[in-house]
Order: sequence, then structure tokens, then C-alpha cells
Amino acid sequence: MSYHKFLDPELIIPISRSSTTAFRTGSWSRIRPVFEEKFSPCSVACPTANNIASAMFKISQGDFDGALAAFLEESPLPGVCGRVCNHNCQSKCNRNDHDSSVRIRTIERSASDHGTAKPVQLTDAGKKLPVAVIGSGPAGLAAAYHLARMGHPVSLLEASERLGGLLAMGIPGYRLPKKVLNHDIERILTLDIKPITNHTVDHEGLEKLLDSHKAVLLATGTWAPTTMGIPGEDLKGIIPGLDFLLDSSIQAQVKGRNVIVIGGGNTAIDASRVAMRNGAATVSILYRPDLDALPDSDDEVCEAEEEGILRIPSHPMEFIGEKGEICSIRCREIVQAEYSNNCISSSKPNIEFKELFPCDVVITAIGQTLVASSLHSSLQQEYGRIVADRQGRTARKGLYVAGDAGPFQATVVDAMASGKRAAVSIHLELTGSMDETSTALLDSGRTFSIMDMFKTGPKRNSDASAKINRYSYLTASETTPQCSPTIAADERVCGFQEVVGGLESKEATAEAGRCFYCGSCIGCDLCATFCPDVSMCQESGKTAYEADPEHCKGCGACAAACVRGVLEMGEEQ
Amino acid sequence: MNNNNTIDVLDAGHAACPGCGYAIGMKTVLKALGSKAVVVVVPSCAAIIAGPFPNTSLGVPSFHSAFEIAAPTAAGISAALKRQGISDVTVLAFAGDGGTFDIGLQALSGAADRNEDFIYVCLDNEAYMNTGVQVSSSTPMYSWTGTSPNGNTKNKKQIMEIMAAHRIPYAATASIAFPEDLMAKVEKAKTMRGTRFIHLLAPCNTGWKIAPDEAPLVSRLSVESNIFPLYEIFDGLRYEINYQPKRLPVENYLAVQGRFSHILPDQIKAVQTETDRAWAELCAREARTRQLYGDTPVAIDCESGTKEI
Amino acid sequence: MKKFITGNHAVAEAVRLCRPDVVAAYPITPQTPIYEQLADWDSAGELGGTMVKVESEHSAMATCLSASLTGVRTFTATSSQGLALMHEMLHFAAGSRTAVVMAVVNRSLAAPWAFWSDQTDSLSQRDTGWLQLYCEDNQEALDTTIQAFKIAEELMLPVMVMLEANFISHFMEPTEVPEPDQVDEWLLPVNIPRRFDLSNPGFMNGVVSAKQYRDFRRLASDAMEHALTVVERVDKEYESTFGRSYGLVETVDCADAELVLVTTATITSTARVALASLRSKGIKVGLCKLRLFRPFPVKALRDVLDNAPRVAVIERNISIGREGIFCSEIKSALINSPGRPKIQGYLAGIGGTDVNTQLIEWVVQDAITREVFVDQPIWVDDAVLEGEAQ
Repeated sequence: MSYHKFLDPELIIPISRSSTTAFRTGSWSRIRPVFEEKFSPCSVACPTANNIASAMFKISQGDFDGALAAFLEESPLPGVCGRVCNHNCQSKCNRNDHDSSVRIRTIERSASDHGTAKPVQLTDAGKKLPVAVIGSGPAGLAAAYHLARMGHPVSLLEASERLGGLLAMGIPGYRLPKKVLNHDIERILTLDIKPITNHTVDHEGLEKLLDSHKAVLLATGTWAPTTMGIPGEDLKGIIPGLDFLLDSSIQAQVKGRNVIVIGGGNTAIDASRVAMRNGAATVSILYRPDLDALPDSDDEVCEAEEEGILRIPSHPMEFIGEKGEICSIRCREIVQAEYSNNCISSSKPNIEFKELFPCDVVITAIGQTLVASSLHSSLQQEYGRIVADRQGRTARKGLYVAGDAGPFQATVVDAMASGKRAAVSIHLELTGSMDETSTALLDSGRTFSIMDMFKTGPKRNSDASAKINRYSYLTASETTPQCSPTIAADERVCGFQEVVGGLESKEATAEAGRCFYCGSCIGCDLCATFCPDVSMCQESGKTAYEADPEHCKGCGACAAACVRGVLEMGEEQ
Repeated sequence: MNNNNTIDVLDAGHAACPGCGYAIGMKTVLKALGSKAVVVVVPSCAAIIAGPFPNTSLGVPSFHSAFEIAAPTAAGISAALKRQGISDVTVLAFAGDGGTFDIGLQALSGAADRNEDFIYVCLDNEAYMNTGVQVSSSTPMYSWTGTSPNGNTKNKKQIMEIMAAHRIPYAATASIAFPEDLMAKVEKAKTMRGTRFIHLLAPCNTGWKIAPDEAPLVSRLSVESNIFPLYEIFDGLRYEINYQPKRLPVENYLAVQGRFSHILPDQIKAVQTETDRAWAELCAREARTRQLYGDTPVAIDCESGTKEI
Repeated sequence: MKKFITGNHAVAEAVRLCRPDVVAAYPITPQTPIYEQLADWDSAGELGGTMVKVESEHSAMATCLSASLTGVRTFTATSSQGLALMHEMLHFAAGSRTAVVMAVVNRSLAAPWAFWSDQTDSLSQRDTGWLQLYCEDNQEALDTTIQAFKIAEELMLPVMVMLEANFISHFMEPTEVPEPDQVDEWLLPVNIPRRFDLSNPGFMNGVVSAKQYRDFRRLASDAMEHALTVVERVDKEYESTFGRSYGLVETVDCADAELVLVTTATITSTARVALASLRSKGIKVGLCKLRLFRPFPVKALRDVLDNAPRVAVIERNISIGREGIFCSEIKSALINSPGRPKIQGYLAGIGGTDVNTQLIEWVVQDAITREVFVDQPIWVDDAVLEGEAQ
């Protein structure tokens, strides 16, 4: 039969066999999704910039080792921070607007409790550039850790017989068991760090160190008490808070006595709870809402109150003694305005004002300052701290300061953060690689990520923390956080055993599963799933999703569905 | 474009409006359907998405049939394939709410009654969207359309109950906001024989007057507010609710859509009342039918697709 | 084998012999016996194919056309209202170039309600793109149905086979039913495109542009034109195996005729009798039976009519507002005829009324003696016949 076009099966009806990909629907719009991983709000709130979202995701997948490794990227003390950190992160958790924050600190502890990981070397560029670190508290440990990861041989000098500084001596064991601290320290010491204990550095010693090392970091902390400047401060029975926490023989003296602790911060709470554990008859805290530091977290206040410790807002005016010994404190009433900057829900005044507070022992915990030593007196000071810039650089080249000794926030995590910042500053200076970008990162916002420093490609902008959209909240069910096991108050005051336990791994996984992983792509694929134009694609082996510009119509469904806030719509470049 | 090495049997470059819920729904269904399939589309936005000659976004053999005959078209193909000894190819029909609830209902009913062997996916965007937003029997009460300018005056037709009355082996509601659930339902349907019906709510950004990025959000809200519960009906008898919604007030759902912008407080209350009633009814059915028929599906002869109740 | 059967039964026999894969049907008087007969055989396992008992004619055609696109042999049957309901699908089946075969039992369309023979139902489907063949008797209905499958599958165009209500559908006649192996040898297994081939996926019937639409219509039109050859060839092939053929048109005594009477379907049989009687009276009248309506066999008709001085078209249908549909078609076919025969249309048998030899003789007398040929049809009703008698 001869050929007839009208009988050609392929030609007689419209059969489409070419793809619609030939149509460049991308020209419909110039708006495209922009993939940008961001700091999570918790991470921005974390002075040491822990990559919390990443760690959370790993734990949600049961990967405790990976999570621990994620914490170790930025911070060498996950066991410590998992217990005593003031967890600013949790107050910024996006989950607060939904049900309640993810228990980030507890998860960090779980990573440390259930995971194993080694520190990761970032570079060996510092190999021939030794650095000395004076002081092995959180700032000194962090600095030594990060310096060693950047290749520097580190001499870590400690005046006392063991490493840890305030962590070892100032934080009671019911909050931070020694073995936890030691575990963290052991991990740090796997790096090229030479610990030298029982070594006090004076002015001459500093000069020698500056000769023998390319740089010296001072992280000696603040160990001298601040005085209140009111009459009667020299009476017997008035003990500085740190002295009390450091010396068990002093602690034993409170047995059966009525103790008043003055101050509002961690030292005050710790001192009061240690007094309670040493058999004090009564323990009250007098705090000045307008002056005293806040405790690091609500939890400790609650725990202290559970243990029978009263917190009374009041203003001590005078210590009154009898035969040279303290017997009462005269106070004035607090006016309402003084509450303005110090409102902790659990500590609303519930005690009627008294002018006279009788007592047997007073522990003052209103802050510490630099110890007066030849080391410190040779350096320029202001407000009781050594003068330095954000990177910890002092007026003297090669001499840096970190932690409480410098002009930094006085918390464990802030001390660690200042140690890390100084370490990076030292490294860049010594290797001659300080540039504008690095300077900007070092001097920028509160958080500082060393990993970002060593990452190629664009750096995360710490001011732009991931925003979570309404879709995130809509798709998340309301859940109750996992409860850490806690010893009953009447039982725990009898000893120094750790009050709060850790989570079982299953519980930790569930808790981490509550995280939105703000700012971190976890490959949930929702953006691709909801792309009506089949244009979202994750290149194999890469994290980033990218819209095919030839076909993406810029509808924004991907970004709207990005519950992590990684994708946002923006003008095509 | 393939993503993560999984097959999307829908190509980019189709002509759906930006953010189209239909396209999301089709893509998800086709992904679960896989490549051993024949697809029927009928006049609806699905036919637009399928592409103009000589281009197509569909990767499997497919046919643009007439408006009201999605079901008999699928039935004819299915019967013919079997005559050709091909039994491992799934025939799936996409039809809109107009093509299902209205003009195609008779043909669908006939095919379902005969338990013809195909999967029927009703892409429900609750009005005649392809012709520019006119009221259908799927349009919800009070919704604006071009032919209900003051708001629709009747409730949405209960297509699932109609399909259940045919005692077909499988009927399920699904939402584009629950892609895993949707895919699981398509995959489950694939393992069965006979008429399988999936009622997929797929918002039309234009007709619902929502932003181009809001189709998944609004779909999610429809489920979470109980407007569109996710459930399955086995053999037209046994009900199973698949998702316990948050039971958000319906106002959350209505307020984000321009098509309800004129709605009055009393009307919101009426929608809430009706929604609560329908949910209670659904829960009661689930409980009652579970008691009657247990947890296992009523016997289906998967080979022949015949119902033995 | 000779069987004494109705036309419906004859069509059913033909369908069974052709081994259809998918039969979709819906009952409607007077077609129902075809459906019932096929269903009987299906129940007994003798049909071989799949019987889809749809809920409407519309769905019957939807099922058939999609099955045909899948690549199998398909058949349906309907009548009157059912055919009208199918109308949309008829366009669709033809436009999709399917090979559906359908038997249409010509029956009057409502309103008013009636169940009698009338061709307007199928003639209303003139422009749907289907081939149309009108049968004179049970045997021709059987033979044409078998031929239809071969024609449809070769052309990828659907074919309608018309048999008249009651006169063929329900009247029993001795009918030769061929042996199955003979038909198997003559009609090879279906070999039409398998449009849903997984190895060569494509999307059929995507929206086309204006030009593309025009070009696809042109191809269908070309195929329809070509159908004239195919119908004729298939008819000859059929004859060589089964000994019967019908042509596109059939002529009786036309060579010297002063008047050629044009008929279709059962009126032809009556006309044959009338013609014999008229010839015996010395009246030079010929008969031209039109079997194929779409495509319209212009050339075949002109071969017969170009030189006929007068033509009378007698028919059982009407396009209201004009005349009998065959008459219009014949007039237009002869517009370029050099001899320009005079043509007069007669409407007889509308609604199944009786067309007997007297009526036909009256028509012949009228046409052969008529001085003025009018553009309007002449209703050959009782009043006319009685008036003539007086």
C-alpha cells in the first residue's frame, strides 16, 4: 500500500512527545527562591555560636556522636555547658511562640552523655607559633582548645593544682559533677596542649612567657570579692561568696546557723544552696532588684526555692553586730520602680518587708574583681577589668585577655566565647592572615563562629537569624518538652549529688525532634515537593536547593513551605 | 527534572499559574503512580498543565479526553489493555470537581457501579476554575465565584458519600499539604483492583484569591480546621480517619482566602457548626463501622476486582 | 450457514464473527436485541471480548473510543435518542481517528415519542466525521458490519452501519451467516495503533493552534476522501470471498431511463418491485440505490445521474426547513453536471409510515410527468395519495 500522510498513525492526531521543558516559564518572574542557611535564633543567642540546629537534627536521627561533634565545632565543654550554661538560646527559641522552647541545654548534655567525638583539627598553620594561656577556666580552656585546633602548640598555665578554674572550684558538684568536667578537659587535652598546674604567673613570669611564646592570653578570671561599701562589713561572720564556695571548712561553719546570702547571681544561689546542704538552719537570699545580677536561669532559682531558700527583694543598708559578730542586717524597702529590670516570675516579692533581718552568717555574693597581683597591676584596668578590645587585644602587642579578667560578660559561655575570639584573633595575627572579612566577623555581633571562619564560600550573617513562618507553626503539633529527672528537694539537700539527671537517648531524640532546625536545611524536601513547577532541585551531594531559573515562576511556595527559614524569595541576580 | 533520583512524572515548563495547587497535586500523584501507568485528563486545569501540542509535561502515555468521560475513558483503556494481556499498567484519570461532582457524575457513577478497574483522582478546586471561576456543586457555602457573586448559597456536595454508596473498594480524601499521606494512598490504591477514588483538595490560587505561595498553607488549614478531614472508606463501608487534626477554628481557614472576604460573623458560625457536625458524624461512622467490620478491610478479590461483601 | 433471523440478530452474528475485544452498549429500542444477543453470548463465554454494560450511550462511545485508541477492536450499537446523546462523542471518536464500528438502528427522534423507522437520527450525525453505510436488508446489514471493521481499521476512521427500525431490526429473513474461519481469514486480527504504549509515551489530543486544527481536519477529510476507494475495494474483496457485494451505489435499469429513482435502505426493496411493474408498463424508469452516504460517492452518482433527464429522490428523513437530506446532497453533487438533470425530492415513510409499491408508482408517475420541478420536497402523505385516487 502506498504511503498516505492521512493514514500515518503518528501524524493524524495530535500526539505530544516533546517536553514542556521547552517553554521557559522562568521568564514569568524575576523573583526566585534564595537558599541561604542562617544562624538559628538560638545560635545567635549563644555567645559561642553552637550550631544547635545541626546538633538537634542529628540527635533527632539518633546520631549522638554527630551531635557531639557539632557542639565540639564551636565549644570544647559540652558536658559543662549542658549543665550550667545560662542557655540564652532557649529564650530565643522559635518554639516559644508555639508551645515552649526546645530544651537545648539538656540536649547538649545528652550529646555529651551519650555521644563520643574527637576534636577536629581546623588547620596546622599555627604549628610553629606557640601560645601561652594563663588560667584554665572556661575562657582559658576554650582558647587553648581552639588555638590547638589551629595548630598552635599551647602551654596552659594554671595556678592551682588542677585544671578547670572556676568550673572546678566555684561550681558545686550538685550542678556540675567533677567527672563531667574532667571528661571535657580530657578531651581538650587530646590536642597539642601542655598543661602546667601549680604555676602562678607574676609580672616577670609574664615577660618570660611573652619572650618564649608568640602570644600570651591572660584568662585569670576575677577572684577578689567586691565590697558593698556599707557600715559593718568587717564584722565577723560575713564571708565572701567565692571564699565560701572554695573552702569546705568554711562551709561547715554554717551548720545550724541562720544564713543570709546577699546578691542575686549564680554565686549567690550556689552559696545559698551549698549552705543549705551544709545544714544551715535557715537560708535566705536578699537581693537588690536594681543592682544585683540576675541568676543565670530560672531553673536554679526554682530549685533553690524548692529547697527551702527564701528570696527576698531588699536593700541592705547596714550590718549590725554584737560583740564584733554579725547579728542582723538593716534594710530599706524596695520601691516598685526598682523591679523594672529584674522580673523573674517565680521571684515576685512574697515576703513582707522587714527593716531588720536577724542572722548568724552573711555571705556576700555581689560580684568579683581582679585579684590585686603584680601580674594584673602592670596592666591597664578599667571597671576592675583589664582593658582590651572585642578580640581581647590589650595595648601590648602579643598580649591578649579573655574571660572575666577582660571586659566581657561574666558567664561561663561568654568566657568561652571570648577565649575563642581571642584565639582566632591570635591565630590570624600570628599567621599574618587578618583581613577585612575576618576583622568584621570578629568584631561583629555577639555570636562568633569559628567554623564560619574556616568555611569557604559566603559567611553567615549573624544579624540575620532564620525567620520561621506561619507554615512552620501550622505544621508543628503542640508538644510538651521532655522532663529531666530531678531528685526531690528534701532528698537532694542532704548531699551533693547531681540534682538534675540527663535524658535517656530515646527521650533526647524526641526532644530534639521538637526542634524546627531554624536556618539549617535538613533535606526535608518540602520545597521540592511543593514546587508546582518541578523546578526545585537539590544537586546530588550538595545541601543547597536551587530553583531552575528557566522554569521557576517565582510563586514562592517553596519558601513558604521552608519551615527552617532557609529559603526566602528574592530578586534574581 | 528529576529530584533526588526519584521520578517525577511531570515536567517543568507547563502553563499552570504560579503556585498552582493542581500542579502540586498532579505532581505528587504522578510521583507515586510511577511510570507503569496510563493517564487520562479531561478539560480542567490538568489538561492545561498536560501541555499544548506538540509538548507535554506528562511522562507516561496519556490522553486528553472529553469533559464528562474521565471514568468511561479510563474504563475503556483499562478493559482494552487487559484484552491485550497487559495487567501491570495502572490507568489513572484526573478530573476536576466540575468533571466529577457535576457533568461527569453519571459516567463516574456508572463506572464505579461496574467497579471498572482504574484510579480516579478528583482534583477538587471547588469551582470551574479553567473557565474563570464559576460555581460548581463542589463550591463551599458562602464562597465567592463569578456566578455566585454574593457567596454560594448551598453546602458542598458530599462526593465521598456518593462514592461510598457505590461500595467501591477504596475511596480516600487527600490533601496536597500532606504529600506523604497522598502518595501512600495512591500507592495503596495501586495495589487494589476495581474503582479507586481519591478526592484531592487542590487549591486554585486565583479562584480562592490567595497568594501564589499559599496553596500548601491553605490546604493544611483546611485539614487542621476540619473543613477537609483526611480519611479512607474501604468497600464503601468501613471508615478510617487518617489524621487527627488540630481542630483550629474554621475562621483561620476562611480568613486567609479572598473568596470568603465578604463572610459575616454569623456565617462563620454557621460554617463552624456544620464543620463540627460533619466531623462528629465522621467520627461516629468510623467508630460504628470499625465495630461492625473490624480493622481489616472487607474482603476484596484483588485479582478480579469483584466485591464480595 | 443460512439462518432465519432478524436484522438485529444478523448484526450480532456479524459482530461475533469479527471477534470484538471491547463491546460497550446501552439498551434502547429497537437496538436492544443486538445488545441482548451479544450479552447472551458474552455470558456463555462465546463473545470472546469484554462486554462493558455502560450507563449511557455517551459512556458507551467514550469507552469504545478509548479502547480503540488502546488498539483493540470495538463495537457498539444504538438508535435514535441514544445516538443523539452520543453526538459529542461521535466527533471525539472521529477526531481521535479511532476505528469504532457502530450499528445504528434508524428510529424516529423524540419529540414526539415514537419507535418507527426514520433516518434523521443518523443523518443528523452527518458532520461528525464517521463513515455512514445504509443497508437494505438483513443480509446486507450482516455483510456491511463485517466490512465495516476492515474499513474502519484501515482508515482509522469510525464507521456507522445503518439498519432501519422494525423493517430490518425486527423482521426475520433468511440470512447467510459466514463460517467463522472464513471471516477470520478475511478479517485479520486488529492492527491499529496502540496509543498507550509505555515504550513510546505521548500525550494525545493536547490543545492545538488554529493552523494545527485546520491541518488535522484536512487530514481527516483526505482520509474520508480516500475512504471511497477503500469501501469499494473492501466490498470487492468481500465479494471474492463471500460472493456478495453492494457497491457504493447500485443501479437498476438506468441506462435508458427517462427517470431515475434514488432510494436508500428498505425503500429500495419496495422500489425494485414497483420498478418491475412500471417497466412492464413501458415506463422508462431506473433505480439508483445509495448505500454509502459518508463519504458521499459523488463520482459514482454522477456516473449514473449525469445523463438522466429526471431524478426523483424518495426518502424517509427530513432536514426541517429544507427537504430530505439525501435529496439536498444529490442536488449538490450534480451541480456541475453538464446535463443538469431535473431533480424532485419526495418525502415518504417519515416516522415509519408505509412506503408501498403504489406510493412509489405514484412518485414515478408524478416525476415523469411533472412540468415544473419545485425546490421544496413533496410530502407523499395519505392526502396526496387519496387526492390522486379521486
